[in-house]
Amino acid sequence: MEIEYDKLKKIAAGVRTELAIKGEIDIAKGKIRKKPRDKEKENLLFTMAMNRMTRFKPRREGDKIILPYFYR
Amino acid sequence: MNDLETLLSIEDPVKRKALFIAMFSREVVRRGGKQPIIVGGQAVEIYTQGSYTTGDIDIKASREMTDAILKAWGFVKAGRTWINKELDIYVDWLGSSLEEGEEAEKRVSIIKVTDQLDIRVISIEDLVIDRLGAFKWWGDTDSLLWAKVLIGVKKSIDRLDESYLFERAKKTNLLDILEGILSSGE
Repeated sequence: MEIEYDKLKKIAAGVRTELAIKGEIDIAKGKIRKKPRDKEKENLLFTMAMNRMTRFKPRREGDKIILPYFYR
Repeated sequence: MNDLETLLSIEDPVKRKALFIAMFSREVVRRGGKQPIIVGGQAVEIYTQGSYTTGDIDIKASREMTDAILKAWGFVKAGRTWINKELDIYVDWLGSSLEEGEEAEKRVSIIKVTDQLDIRVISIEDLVIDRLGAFKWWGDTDSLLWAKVLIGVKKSIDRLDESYLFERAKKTNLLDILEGILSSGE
């Protein structure tokens, strides 16, 4: 079965919204991860985050911060 | 193109949420309110520029204004969360001011999203303490990793205020965890 990514994304968002409205899922909950990651995976996530920061290097402009990933 | 159309045209949910927050903040100020402050997971998502992602937007703002604006923008309420299916945006209203107090309010960062729009986000130091608390008290193992990343981000922008961090860590009984990550050298 072939499913278009955009179509799937829309369906998933729709289901999530419906469940949240019905109170069957709490979007604010479920963010706690109890299972520890293995060290290698943790190091990879740290490296990925640092690489993104290097690619989109934050800078200060007066009293404001510019985060290039967002700046339009 | 109106604000809603602009948001709908942004495919990347991380960028869409950031611009939404900026537009929402502008509307609150336009109506005479205090600019909202972004906290929690959404603050981590912003500072890490999407390396960390969260499902909802944790916000501190006037309740009356949040309710009025989001209702006018087509959001529906489920518990304390405002939901917009079309935008795929979920706003979790967490109060009108920071629990961390006045000092934390003075330290919030202003992040420029466009030349005209900016957003206020809890300071990195206060967010690090929040993550260390999540690790120690809730057992959220990933929070320690993100605290380390946030420290890296702050050091790349300017100086990490270690004395403030230690002061807050002492008050919140997180000194052991803070000392641990600062000495890990990452």
